[in-house]
Amino acid sequence: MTIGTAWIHTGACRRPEGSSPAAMLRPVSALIAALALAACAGTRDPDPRFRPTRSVLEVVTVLRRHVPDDTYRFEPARDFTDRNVYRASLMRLESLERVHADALRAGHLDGVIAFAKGRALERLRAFDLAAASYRRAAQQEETLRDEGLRSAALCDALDEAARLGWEPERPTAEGPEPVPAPGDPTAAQAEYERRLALLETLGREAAGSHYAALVQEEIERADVARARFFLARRRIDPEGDVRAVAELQRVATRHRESKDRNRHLLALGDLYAALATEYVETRPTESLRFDPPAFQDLVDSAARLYEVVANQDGTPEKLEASRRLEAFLAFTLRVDRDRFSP
Amino acid sequence: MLPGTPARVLLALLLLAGCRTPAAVPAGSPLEPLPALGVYVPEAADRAARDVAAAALGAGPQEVRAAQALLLALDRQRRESGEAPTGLAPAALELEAVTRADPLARRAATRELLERDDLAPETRRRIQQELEDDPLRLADRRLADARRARFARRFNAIAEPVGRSLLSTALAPYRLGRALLTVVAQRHLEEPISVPERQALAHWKRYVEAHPSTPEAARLVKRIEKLQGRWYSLKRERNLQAAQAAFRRDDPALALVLADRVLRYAPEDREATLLRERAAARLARLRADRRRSLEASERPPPDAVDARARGLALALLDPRGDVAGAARRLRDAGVEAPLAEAGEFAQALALAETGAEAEAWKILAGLARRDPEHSHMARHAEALVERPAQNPLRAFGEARRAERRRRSAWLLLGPLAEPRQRELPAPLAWSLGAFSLVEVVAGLPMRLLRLPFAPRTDEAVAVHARHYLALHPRGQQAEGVRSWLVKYEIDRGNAIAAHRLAAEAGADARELTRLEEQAAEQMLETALRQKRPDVRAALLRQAASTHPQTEAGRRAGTRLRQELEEATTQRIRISRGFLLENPEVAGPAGLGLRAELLDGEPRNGELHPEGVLLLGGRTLEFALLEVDTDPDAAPRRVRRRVSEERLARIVSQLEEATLRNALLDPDAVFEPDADRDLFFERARFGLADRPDLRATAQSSYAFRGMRERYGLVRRRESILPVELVIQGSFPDLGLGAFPRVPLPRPTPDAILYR
Repeated sequence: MTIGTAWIHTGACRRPEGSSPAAMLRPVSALIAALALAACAGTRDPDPRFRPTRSVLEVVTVLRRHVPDDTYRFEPARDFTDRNVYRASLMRLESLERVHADALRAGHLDGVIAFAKGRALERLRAFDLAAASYRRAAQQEETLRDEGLRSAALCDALDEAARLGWEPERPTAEGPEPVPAPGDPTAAQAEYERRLALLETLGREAAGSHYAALVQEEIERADVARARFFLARRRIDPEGDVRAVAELQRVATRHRESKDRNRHLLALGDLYAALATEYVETRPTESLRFDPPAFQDLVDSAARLYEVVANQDGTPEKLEASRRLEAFLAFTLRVDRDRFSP
Repeated sequence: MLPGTPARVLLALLLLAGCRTPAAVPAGSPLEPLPALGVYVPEAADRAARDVAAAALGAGPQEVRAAQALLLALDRQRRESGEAPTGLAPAALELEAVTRADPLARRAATRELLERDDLAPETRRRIQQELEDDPLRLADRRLADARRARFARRFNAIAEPVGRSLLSTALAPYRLGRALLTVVAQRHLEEPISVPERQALAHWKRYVEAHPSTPEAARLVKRIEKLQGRWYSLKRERNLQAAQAAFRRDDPALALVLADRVLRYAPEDREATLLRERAAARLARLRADRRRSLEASERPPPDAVDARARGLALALLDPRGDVAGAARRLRDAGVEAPLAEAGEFAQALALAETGAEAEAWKILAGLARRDPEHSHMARHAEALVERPAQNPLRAFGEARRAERRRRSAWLLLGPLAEPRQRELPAPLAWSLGAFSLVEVVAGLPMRLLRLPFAPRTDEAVAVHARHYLALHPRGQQAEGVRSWLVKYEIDRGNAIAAHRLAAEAGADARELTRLEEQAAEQMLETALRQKRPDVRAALLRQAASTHPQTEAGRRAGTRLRQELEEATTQRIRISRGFLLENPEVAGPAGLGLRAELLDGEPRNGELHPEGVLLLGGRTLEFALLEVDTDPDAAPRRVRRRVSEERLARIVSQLEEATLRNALLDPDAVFEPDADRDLFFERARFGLADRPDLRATAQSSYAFRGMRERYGLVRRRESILPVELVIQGSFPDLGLGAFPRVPLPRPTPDAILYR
């Protein structure tokens, strides 16, 4: 924007149409004001904070700040645009590579960019792509060779582990069709245990590095996948409800330090709430099959878990849990007071 | 000495000795044998009653009327021959009424029953309750409540200042002026439809759905439409206010959603349409900005060929890299701004990793203050410095300062420190504020006195403190933050957390011992508050095992042992007071308690005020007054196993008595207890011998007499429409008496209309 345009812009915004003292100049003023308003609408100064990225070093410095972050215990950091910092860094590096292919053609920063992309990709669970990036970096940059190869090997192992066991939401290389759930729970459990054993071995190798948090995250994901598998089967397996509760309890107990601990408790609370709802649906409260202590047990468990999360100040799950608790208690209003007294 | 005095003294001593004679516990069982029931030969009235019941269950109204006629004729005969009537006529008539197919005719016939003079009081009350459950009647009541609440609010707002000005007229104009403004503000803030009006709307809808073809339904439809319009208007108003607030908070996404919601209730609403357009435009700009920030600048990156920049990048990525050295070399080389700033940022990272937090944050804060027009790293530094998740120490300090500002504002400004109600027009809000000035000045000394006890809102500070300690348990400021958190936890009564934090901080042994004692006490109190015996036992065990060396820990252990030793499947108590007030429960048709245990004469044995406990199975525990006749002394406990029949009679009489009391006396509330009811159900079916051992099956319900609950004189609701209030005010040292119209109590279902 030129200085002249800026002057018209600000002046016109301050002086509304019709405020000119000279009546004869009103049509002219109106025209100027209209033009200025059009200028106001069309050429607003962009916010300088959102300017495009200037250098590779800018991205690498910010990314490096968050490499040691313990993303198992704490939420991944967000950048100034409120995006996941690893994803934003990856996208910025790719923009730089695309826009300045010529300037970067000398290959001066190829190894740096590849390595940084590896660091970002591994946090986004694209372990196979991260490993490839690390290998490229190891080839192109002598300084990063050892760390690149070590990281590539760890990412390969993480990728291998992540492919074990059934996970319905996992993207498949074969196509968009979801992988059918295994019919044999014993075999499925064996797969999850194999995955866990591999990750626990990796955890020992990664101790002391930022990979320790990544491995912990993968162990948590494996535990959650296993719990979800049994949760999905609970209606067809004998004692399926008991198994599903036990699996979710296992996740909540094993991952008390996780950033998702409240989510695990909410999932367990949700299961108890679902069991309570199903209990009333299958055994109407007025029927002789309705057993008040059994129902009370389910209600107490769900309410206690929701309350625990609703008491956690400063977390979004607090609001979620308190609303769910309210909704769940509203459901119990349906049950006759002589069958359930809160 | 008076003649005969030794004899009198002796007599007095003998009498005293007589009074000290221990109350004799009755020999044998505290229960009388159950009376034997003879063979009952049904009379004609019994057979007629059976026919009415059978007709009501299996045939139609005609048959019921025929059977009922016979019963009524029998009653007539009895009256003519001077005998007492059977008492079954009202029941037969009610049975006939409830078999009518038309609900309105059924209700009219039931209402007619109330005109009879032979209705038992509890039956009359039950029928009245049923008739009161009429949607039209309930709707009228809720509308009356709404009118009364509106009137009460306005009347009270004026009556209070007038009453307080009678003794001190100096401030009368001020008080009255303020009261009038309050009434105007109330009127302005009044919602288009109140909760009682929404309840009335729901009752009307229920009626129209149940009786669509009645003349009342046709009349109601128009009223429903009008009230429904006001309900939509309220929803529009609430959503629009929320949308405007979100827009002001710079949350265009939420503002857009809420404005859309307004348009669903009020399509083409101008305000909402305009707000929606503005929110959408702002959101689009924000998204474009965010997209732009992911792109690369058109100018070639300055580090594309710069060896020093490359050196820093490698140092940053290599776990063994010398970041501080590379950053220093880059900065000293006088490279252009973007690279130099990245060097500064990297230097801060290197410092932070060596534990020099304060220095690192100082560099980052300096970077964050730079003009984003000329600095690329300022935005990244700002994101680190200002985000509580990244910089919890700063957030902790900010939150503490905010809390101090809030308390200072409250101290100095009193009610004016509260945020202004945005919904009020500015002149009205400012006028109200101006009227508060007197209160602000006069109330200052009182606020000064109350300051140490004023409630604190330190939750946000504590959240940041905990986050800082989780990130940097051995950080430069960890000690100070932990000390603050220990004090915070102590102040809010969470000694368990305070003890854990103090132990982490390595507090001195005396302090740790003191906190541990408090923590154990807190655990014990929490355990004792639990209703479920299994949860209580688990918490007692935890208190005893975690803090065995504390006094509270030892008490927890003792209590646990006692609970385990005395555990029973049920603990339903019938107090002595209840048995005295409900003799049919204590009598031969119920418990069959020996009469002398309730005659108030301790010499022949007396029931302790604790009364009788139903312990589950068929076991009863009788609490009897021990040697000492003091009712507060611990009782002697006697357990007896009773027959199935007696147990069934006890629970039946208990239920009958409490339900009848609840009908006749509004204060005699029969609180719901599913476990009690389940035990009673099983006892009636003769299944009590198979006790339910689950913790959730235990009831500790207590049947208590009305005198035990409310004392000798019960507080009664005034029948007057107003209550007289005498009130003093510290801020303006005023004293006054004035009438106040009580607000109608919300009905139990008001929760469904929030």
